[in-house]
Amino acid sequence: MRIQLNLLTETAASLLLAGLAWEVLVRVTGVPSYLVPPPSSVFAEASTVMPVLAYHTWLTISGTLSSLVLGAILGVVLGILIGYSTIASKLLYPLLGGFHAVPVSAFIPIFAVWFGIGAVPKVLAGMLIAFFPIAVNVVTGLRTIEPEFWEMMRTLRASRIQVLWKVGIPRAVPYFFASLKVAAAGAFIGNVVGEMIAAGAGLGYVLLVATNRMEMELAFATLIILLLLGMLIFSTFDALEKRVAPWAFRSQDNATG
Amino acid sequence: MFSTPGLLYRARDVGLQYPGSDGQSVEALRGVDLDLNVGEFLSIIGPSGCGKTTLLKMFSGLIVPSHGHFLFKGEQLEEPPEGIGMAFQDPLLLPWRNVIDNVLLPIEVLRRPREKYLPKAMELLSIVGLEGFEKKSAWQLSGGMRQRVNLCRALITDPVVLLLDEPFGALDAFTREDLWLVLQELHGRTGSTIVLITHQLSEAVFLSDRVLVLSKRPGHVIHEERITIPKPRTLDTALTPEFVDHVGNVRRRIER
Repeated sequence: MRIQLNLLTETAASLLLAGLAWEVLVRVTGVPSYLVPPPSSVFAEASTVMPVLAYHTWLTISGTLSSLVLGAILGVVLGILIGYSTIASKLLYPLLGGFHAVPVSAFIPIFAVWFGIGAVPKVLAGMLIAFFPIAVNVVTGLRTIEPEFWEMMRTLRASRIQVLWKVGIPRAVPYFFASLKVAAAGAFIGNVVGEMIAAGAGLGYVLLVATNRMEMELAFATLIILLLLGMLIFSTFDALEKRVAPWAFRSQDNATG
Repeated sequence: MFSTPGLLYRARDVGLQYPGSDGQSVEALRGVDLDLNVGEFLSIIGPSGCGKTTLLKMFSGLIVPSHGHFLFKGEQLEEPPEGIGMAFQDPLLLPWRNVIDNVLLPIEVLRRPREKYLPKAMELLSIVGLEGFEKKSAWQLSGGMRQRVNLCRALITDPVVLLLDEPFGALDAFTREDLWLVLQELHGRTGSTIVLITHQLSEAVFLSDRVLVLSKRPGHVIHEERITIPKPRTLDTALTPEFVDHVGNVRRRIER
């Protein structure tokens, strides 16, 4: 509890300091406010359009969560398939790597043609980024079962399915949760990019419109919300990871004696 | 093929060759002869890389010899037979399970009724000195305790033979000696046949009825030491001249 409070105050302090430095820099250097507005006017703008920003923020959050859920399902299914079956591994693994290397923005126009402008292309874009780290981590969890363990299970005449169920899947759980924070960040990126290309709503869309109209106060307000969301997403899944599988973190401390 | 009562394993002229990574064939074992009787405690010792672990895997049926006969209950082993218990240097406990659920893992795998084996698991845990630790998480245990749980897990199925690959290699000297006594107790109580791979001379002599010394690769049996010191042995036994003689006999045979 105390640690969380510390984290919160530390974060607030670092944000406050950054804001202060920004304000001072803008005033001292005299950069015109249509390029870099001072935080004071950004906040003024943000407070007048608060309900609108809140609406678009919600759209970005809900899109990100949808992408993450879909990406997790796809990632776990593919991860188990690849980790379990050699054939699936040979067929799917290179393809997966290829998919991951293509910038997600290349897929969005195609999704827009298929599903129209709206929430679907961005959610799919987020999912495409999110599933990859999850699949890779699940594969790692399954493949790093010790060879001696396989031998022991073979002398018990266990089937591969039994080993997968009793050992592989529980082993992969901490790997899965470790990948979630990376995947969540990816889902977020996919959604914001998707909103900039083919949505008509959401923070990415607001940012695009604001810069087109040279409304830099609004653009910066949006950017700050994106930053705060990013921090929230990362810290939430980081905390979740440590809570779910304590044995994956503490086994090192107890290995002696 | 034979019907000697009490004989569990018989190896005759056993060899193993397999293709190595550089295309050359590797010869791990050549001309291994040995017999193992029911209830016997046999240790196999030898220089590192001599094929000890390979030989142990033949006992388990995980590796089939490329030459000669390796018989279990009179039949050539082609795959792991029923009734094998195994334990390695790494206890390989499942850290998300508690102690009792780790011990009962083989029972689940074999789809036997858990309730029937629960009393047996408790009994084994009390023999190894882990009474009251049933509900502890595996990751909270010390190395010595994990190895005790490992032994219980290997014995829960009432195996005909228990195969141990340097089970105490990673433990400190005091913990190791404690576990010698535990293993001796388990052997006495369960009457199961035990094959132990070790590189520790005193460990082999302390626990065994017989110690086999393997040569350098390709490994074969170059010496058999019968340990006639009556059981149960105590840690003071290791100080007797008889014990020291046995250790010396084995040490002189090991090729370096």
